[in-house]
Amino acid sequence: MRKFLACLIKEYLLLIRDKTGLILLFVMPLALVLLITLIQDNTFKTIKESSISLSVLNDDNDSLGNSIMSGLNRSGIFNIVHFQPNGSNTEESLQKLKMNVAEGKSQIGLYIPKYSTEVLKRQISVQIKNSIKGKQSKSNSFIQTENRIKIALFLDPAAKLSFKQTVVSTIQSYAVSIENKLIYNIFTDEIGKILPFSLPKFEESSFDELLKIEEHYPSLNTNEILPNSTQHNVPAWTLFAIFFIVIPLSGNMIRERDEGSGLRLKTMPFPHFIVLSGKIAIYLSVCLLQFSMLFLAGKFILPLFGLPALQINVDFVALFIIVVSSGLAAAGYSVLIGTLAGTQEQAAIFGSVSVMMFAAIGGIWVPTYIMPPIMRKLCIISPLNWGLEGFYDVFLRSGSVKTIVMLSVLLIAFSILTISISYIYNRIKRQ
Amino acid sequence: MINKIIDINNLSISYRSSSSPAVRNICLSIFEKDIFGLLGPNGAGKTTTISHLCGLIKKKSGNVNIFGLDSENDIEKIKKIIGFVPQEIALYKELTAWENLSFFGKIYGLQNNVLNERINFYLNLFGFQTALKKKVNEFSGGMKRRLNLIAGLLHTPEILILDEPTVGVDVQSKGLILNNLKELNRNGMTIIYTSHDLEEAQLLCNRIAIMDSGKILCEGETSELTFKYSYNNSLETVFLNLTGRSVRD
Repeated sequence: MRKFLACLIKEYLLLIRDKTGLILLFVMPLALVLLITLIQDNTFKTIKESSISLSVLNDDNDSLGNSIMSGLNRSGIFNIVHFQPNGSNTEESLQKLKMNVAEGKSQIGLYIPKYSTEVLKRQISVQIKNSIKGKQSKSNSFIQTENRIKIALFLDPAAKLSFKQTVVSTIQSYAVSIENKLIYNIFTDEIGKILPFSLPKFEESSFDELLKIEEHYPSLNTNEILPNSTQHNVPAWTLFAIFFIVIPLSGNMIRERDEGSGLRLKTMPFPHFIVLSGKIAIYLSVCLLQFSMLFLAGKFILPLFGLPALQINVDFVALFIIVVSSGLAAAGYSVLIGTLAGTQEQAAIFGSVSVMMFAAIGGIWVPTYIMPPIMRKLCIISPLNWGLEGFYDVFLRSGSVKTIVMLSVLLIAFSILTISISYIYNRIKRQ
Repeated sequence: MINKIIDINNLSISYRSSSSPAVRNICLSIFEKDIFGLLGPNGAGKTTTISHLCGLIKKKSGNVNIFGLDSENDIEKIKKIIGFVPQEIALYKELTAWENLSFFGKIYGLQNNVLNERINFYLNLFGFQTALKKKVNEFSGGMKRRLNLIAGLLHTPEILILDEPTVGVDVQSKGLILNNLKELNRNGMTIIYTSHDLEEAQLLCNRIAIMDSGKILCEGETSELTFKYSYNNSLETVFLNLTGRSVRD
């Protein structure tokens, strides 16, 4: 125990005197969490909170055009720039709209052609009259393909695909709504001509509240935790930071080996796992400190930047277990790198690049569910994925010890495996 | 009667990275209270031999007994009675002199009071009265060498093994180191020493062995060997006569 304590004190002194290492371990992760959370904040907000610039030229100025416009306005998604149809110079206005998109001033441009409503009405009317007269329609649609209204969408090549999908689905939803309204009204008009009494006209609000979508985020217990950028990014980037102990810890091992102090230790009468245990214990404490620091930053510092505060109504025992398991996995991996690398430069480069690769595969940067199928299968080889799933279980799904126990076992097994490989490698090298 | 404390018989050591053995069937005897010089050109096998005595490298064949203990089976017991001073400055450069010695002393299992007493004693002996709280990387070359030596002495070993302990130090530091080594030897410590400084070895060692290409070329009393192999009583002449003048690196 005395020897272990001596190792702990030595490692502690070496750590606190390594200013660069301390910056790497504590300042960089804090900056990283803050930066990434700020950057990703919009992607986690409801779409109503973000603003997409949309240039619109409504040349229709009738029911269809106005309905789409009011729908786009009501959606709150778009910051709408109106282009006025300039009488006979519509083409000029359209060119200006296109230029606005081409120059990146608007992400999306929308052109609703003249007489769109008229064409729509005429088509629906013809179809309904034909139907009533018992004539067979050429297609299932009310509008003939050749007479379809062509609403044009202009997209900034730099705009995200999801923007396009949002606009298209909004337009479609309002177009269908107005189409239905017209069908209903024309149909009632035509039927009214046959019946001795008139039918009521379509009321806009009649069907509006028929379908209401409520969002829920089910968790493993009664707590419902709302997903947001803080709730996702703090655990993810904390885990990334924990694995970045690979640089100082492997560097520490290589320095000890190269500078001769490791050689002296090998000539001393004591079990050498004590030295390694001292290193792992100190760096595990670093992981716990990193986690606590980022945890508190998520709770108290991120809100100062307008970000949501980290919700901490979680199972603390489960959280502690998953942090310690992740720390052990990171320490084991660092020991392996420190053993296999020939120089500190090799360890720093290989260690950091491999952690970044593990992070990429593991879903730290991009969620695994949007990865290609092959990558989704591959993600299970990354210890960062096990840790991240554990963190998400605790932070987002209100998981308990039972939920994360398998992930913890995997992380600890990874730690044991990497340390065992290092031990075997050293034994072989010594012979 | 003087006891043989190290008995090396037909020791061979090979490295995985090399096809030829670094040490080939060497036999050596080291006696109690010897200051034994293991000399030879670069690549002779000196460091490999002492590395085996310290438990750093395994042998390929042969027998090595230290105080009757087998160099491989009883290595943990042997480590307790050996103090090793490697050629490298085997210290933590970010720790102070005191912190380094305190750490190594605790690893040797010394209790605080004994440890503090010994640290103070050796620091005084080797001229460290004022630099206890300075980090090692702020020390001069000579100070680092002296501290490196103290770290191997804290547990008062019966055998002190030194691998080129005076490389790169000034005359004053070298004098202090050699005088203290003689003093330690007078107090009963057996010293095994490698060096390229033959004049220093001739002054310090009562017995020497000259190695080359993994073999022992000669072994015996320093005075006997200089008499036998040299016309001018110089160890350097003995060395050159036996190992030749060609560059080895």
